[in-house]
Amino acid sequence: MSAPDDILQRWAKVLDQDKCIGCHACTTACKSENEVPLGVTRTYVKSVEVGIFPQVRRAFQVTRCNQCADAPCVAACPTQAMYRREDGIVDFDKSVCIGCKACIAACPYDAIFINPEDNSAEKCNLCAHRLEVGLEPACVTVCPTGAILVGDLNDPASKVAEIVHREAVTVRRPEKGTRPGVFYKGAHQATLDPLAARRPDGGLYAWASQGQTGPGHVAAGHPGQPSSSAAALLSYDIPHHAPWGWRVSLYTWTKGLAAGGLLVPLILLLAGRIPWASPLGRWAGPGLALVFLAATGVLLIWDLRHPKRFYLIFTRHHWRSWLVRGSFIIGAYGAAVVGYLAGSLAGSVATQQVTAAFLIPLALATACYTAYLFAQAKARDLWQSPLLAAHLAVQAVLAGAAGLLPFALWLGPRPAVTGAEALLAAAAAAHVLLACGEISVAHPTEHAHLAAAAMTRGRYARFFWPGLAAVAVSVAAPWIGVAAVPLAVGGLLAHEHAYVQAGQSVPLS
Amino acid sequence: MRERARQPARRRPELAELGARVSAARAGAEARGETFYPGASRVHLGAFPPRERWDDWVELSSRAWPAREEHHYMLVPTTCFNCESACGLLAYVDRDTRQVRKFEGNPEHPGSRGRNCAKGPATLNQVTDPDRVLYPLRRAGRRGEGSWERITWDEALDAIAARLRRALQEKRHNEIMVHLGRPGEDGYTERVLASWGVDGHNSHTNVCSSGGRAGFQFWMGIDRPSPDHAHAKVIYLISSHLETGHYFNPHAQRITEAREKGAKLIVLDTRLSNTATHADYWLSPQPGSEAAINLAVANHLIQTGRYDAEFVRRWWNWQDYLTECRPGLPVTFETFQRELAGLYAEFTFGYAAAESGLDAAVIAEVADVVASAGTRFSCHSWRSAAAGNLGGWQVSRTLFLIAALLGAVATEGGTFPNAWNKFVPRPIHVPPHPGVWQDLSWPEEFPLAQNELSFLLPHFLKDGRGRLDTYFTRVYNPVWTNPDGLSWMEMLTDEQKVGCFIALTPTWNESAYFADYVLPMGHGSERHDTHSYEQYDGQWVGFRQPVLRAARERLGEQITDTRQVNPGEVWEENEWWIELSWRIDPDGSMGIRQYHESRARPGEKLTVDEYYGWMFGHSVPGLPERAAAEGLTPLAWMRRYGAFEIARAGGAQHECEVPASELSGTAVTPAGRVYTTAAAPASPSGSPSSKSFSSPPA
Repeated sequence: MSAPDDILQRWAKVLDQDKCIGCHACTTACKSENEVPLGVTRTYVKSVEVGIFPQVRRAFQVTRCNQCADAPCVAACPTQAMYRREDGIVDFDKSVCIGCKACIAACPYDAIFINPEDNSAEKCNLCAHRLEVGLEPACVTVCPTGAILVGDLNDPASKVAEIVHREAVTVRRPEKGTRPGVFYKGAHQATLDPLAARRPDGGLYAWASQGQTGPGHVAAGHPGQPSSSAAALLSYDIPHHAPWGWRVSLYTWTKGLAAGGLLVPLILLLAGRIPWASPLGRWAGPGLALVFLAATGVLLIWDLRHPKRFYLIFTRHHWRSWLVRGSFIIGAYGAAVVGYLAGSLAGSVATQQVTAAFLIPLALATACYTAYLFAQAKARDLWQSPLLAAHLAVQAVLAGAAGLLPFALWLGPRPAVTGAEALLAAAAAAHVLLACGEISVAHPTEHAHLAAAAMTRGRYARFFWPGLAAVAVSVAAPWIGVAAVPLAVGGLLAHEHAYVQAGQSVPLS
Repeated sequence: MRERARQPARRRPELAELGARVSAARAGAEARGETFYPGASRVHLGAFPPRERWDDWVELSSRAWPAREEHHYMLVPTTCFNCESACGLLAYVDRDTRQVRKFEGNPEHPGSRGRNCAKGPATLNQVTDPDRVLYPLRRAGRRGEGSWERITWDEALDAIAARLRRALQEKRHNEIMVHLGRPGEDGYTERVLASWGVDGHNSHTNVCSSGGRAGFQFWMGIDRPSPDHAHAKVIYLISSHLETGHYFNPHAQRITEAREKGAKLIVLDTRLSNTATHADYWLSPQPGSEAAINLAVANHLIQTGRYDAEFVRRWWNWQDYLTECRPGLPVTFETFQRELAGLYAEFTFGYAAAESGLDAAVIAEVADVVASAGTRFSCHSWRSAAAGNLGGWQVSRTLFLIAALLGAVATEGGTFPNAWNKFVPRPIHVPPHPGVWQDLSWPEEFPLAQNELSFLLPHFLKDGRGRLDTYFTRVYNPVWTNPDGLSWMEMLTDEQKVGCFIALTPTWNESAYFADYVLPMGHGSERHDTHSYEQYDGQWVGFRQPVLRAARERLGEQITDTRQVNPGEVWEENEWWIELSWRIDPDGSMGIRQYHESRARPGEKLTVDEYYGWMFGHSVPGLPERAAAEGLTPLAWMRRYGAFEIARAGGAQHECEVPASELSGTAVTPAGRVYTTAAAPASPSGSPSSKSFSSPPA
């Protein structure tokens, strides 16, 4: 019995690891079919050697997009370049991809990459262009042993439906709540769990060395004690890369300054420390906010692989994406700052006061939305912290107070200086407290634990500890004055970089 | 744009607008009366476009997707050249750009059945390799200096033909040698050499499969096994055959089928290979002890009486054994059985365990599994243990001992002599075997050599046992392949030892660097060849062709030379050898030209069209009829479909009656062995009348 036409198809795949001989035919057939350039792949065969001689085997995992029913990449994509069709295929449209890499950050399977030839995100889409002309995907057709099957879960006659519904199949990382449409038969947990197998010493994988690597390189396998107690050694995987580099680290910092730059004078105003007519509140604060907001915008657009398409965030916006929400928040904040500045320069205290009512929540939103953006990166467990929004608010105050303190010293009045110093000290103390909490509390997942370890003991420790120490010293702002400023802003920048990069340093495949 | 993002795929693909016109899916294809190629998924999707649409197949661009950008392709079959398996490929030739867009498998190929390994689709990378050799090159400086000048093919042909002509006229036949690695074809090159009267074929086999072959050769006079894995109950492999070796893609398909039906897989492999991974019993013995394990298994069959005594009685030369080795004993089968038990008694599980380092209980368990196979025991050993150990030929010899004990020879699920599952069609002109003996490759002090003693060539030249006037390599990189590459570098740089070295190759390699001429030959999709390999109990012949030539001819162009379609001035060996032979013997006075001359137009050169047209029309049983049914000539049919299955399930040819025509001039020994003076058929498998364990022609 085949499904009647009014019942939707639900395309799915079965990867039968009982039959897979690890020959990589699927890898090259896909490359050829989809003209995938060197250095990137839509699918490849990962292998893990499990056991101790003579009880040992090589376990394979055909690795690729999981065609999730709740696809994090679709939610994260600002322009609907990634979208889920009603037949279950998670497809993409390169013509509207802005290259923001939010989908890559979101994907718990590391299945998406930026094509170096066209700068757009791509991945397996079940060869949708072949399905349309009635052909099986290229990997299915080439496979010598019939280990890759495609079919309709709603069609009981399809082999895929039979296997998925009648046999012991597994999916990768079900805890991410993505409901994958790619099912594994006979797969070993040592391959399905990216942290179950040990990383080979010296980056020496089968047929490939990943020893010499650039920044952002993510080596597969657990760097320490793997999560499986079976002896498991990762023997082949491709090099992976963190999607977001130094520009995103820097953006979190400039955005903190932009939000705090006006938030801090507004706090001082509301606390009665400075009058509305103070130059600090009239132009120094909003000026600081605007300059760093502009820098934020430049960094964000610079980080796009298609910078000229940045406007699509606004014209093709997809409201579920926090990249879209954040862009609108930043835009609104920028507009409000301009309105405030216009009022203050025109000497209209009323305008200042009215816009200030909007500016405080907008500045806070500007500071905090990144917590939601990072949380949307479902793959990155370190960023799933419920305290992150609050921490970002604290960081904005810290940055703003530090940014404003030299102006306060220059422009006065004295209560502004003491106020800024007090805010700086308080925010620095709160930041240190939150950061210490982050690293001292046990993390709920191995992934988050490894990310925190990368931050405190691994390749990002050289940023994290000096950054934390500098901010800790800046708690002494009321006593050391302007000397706290470089410590606070520098320490914060180092912290942002360590946090953003460590969050992406854990292998996902 | 947002509409498109939410565009539903509510309808099944074959009902989509484009699908209605071109779909490969079952409903659409069958409604139009076209071929539906079912895939592994068992759904409505086809694995390949219907063959009726191979002239003009419309596909959507994967790069432009989701925009529906249509491309028109002509699908042209050829044969992969990236290992010995000779799997079918289907080139997608873009009808507009007239370039190959991609390679997929050929569903019409009986061996590979549309599937490929990673190397098949990657043929495209070879074709588009930016570093490939595109023009004939001649050395410009000293040998091995790395200076080259581009020359014309005419210059190369004239210079080389003049050398060869002089050598032949001066009766220096043995100074001409063509050294092959992977031949990638069945017999063409040897035929060319025979036409020159030269015994100049050399191989790489002695550093490769020679040891493996010898063990099979001594059993059945045929040097390769053809395991019928798909129907086996127990599959016994020495080293990895699921992911490497001869013929891994075709064999992996069939081993996997058998495993699905419950077959047990036993693998002897010192490495943790992918095959070892899938084994039910993985034995990782001390390297070189494989034969000891095989002997222990054989001994178990003998001592427990779990062997096919009737097969042994009828087909083993036990009478000869008793007469020669046990004189005085009565020549009865019962005596032989007793002697057999005594002969192998020492090969206990304990013995094998001590040799191999394995647990005796594990070997015993494996032996019981083997005993349970009956005649459904398929086995394979090729290089690996047989190549890498002193006396390695005993590995395949003892392996086939097990098959011969079980009677699992040429049975369903057993192991066949390869020649019964291989078909070599007779070509248009067959020159006689050359009347010279090449001592450099077949030195007389090694009379038992299974193959050319190729690795000794530089040493023989150094010892002054000969010189080479003209030395060709093709698909061969001796400096790299042989363990003592430096000896080959010495040989190739010494112009006293090698007068002229010509590398026929599509790409640079370490040996070509020392050549006098580097002549670019095509990759798998740029040349003609025929192949046949033993991959199941059946016989097929596969055709390799320059796919752009075939495509452009189908589009109405007339192509007379493969260089017209290949990149740069890349040629193919078939046409090159014909042209070279003509220039050696332009007036036919040397008797060479006749073998490269058109039969249809005497006095003119043989073309590849006539060569293969004659072969497919005269030497491949069933092909002319099959082609005629589609209104095609045999050659046109092969150009369109790439491979033809001549026979399936030939079964035990040794059980068939030998026809009287092959029994002329016979002598029968007391043990019943028949000697005949009748000429051997062109291919033992080619003639249905050949019914014995006999060796294929060289």
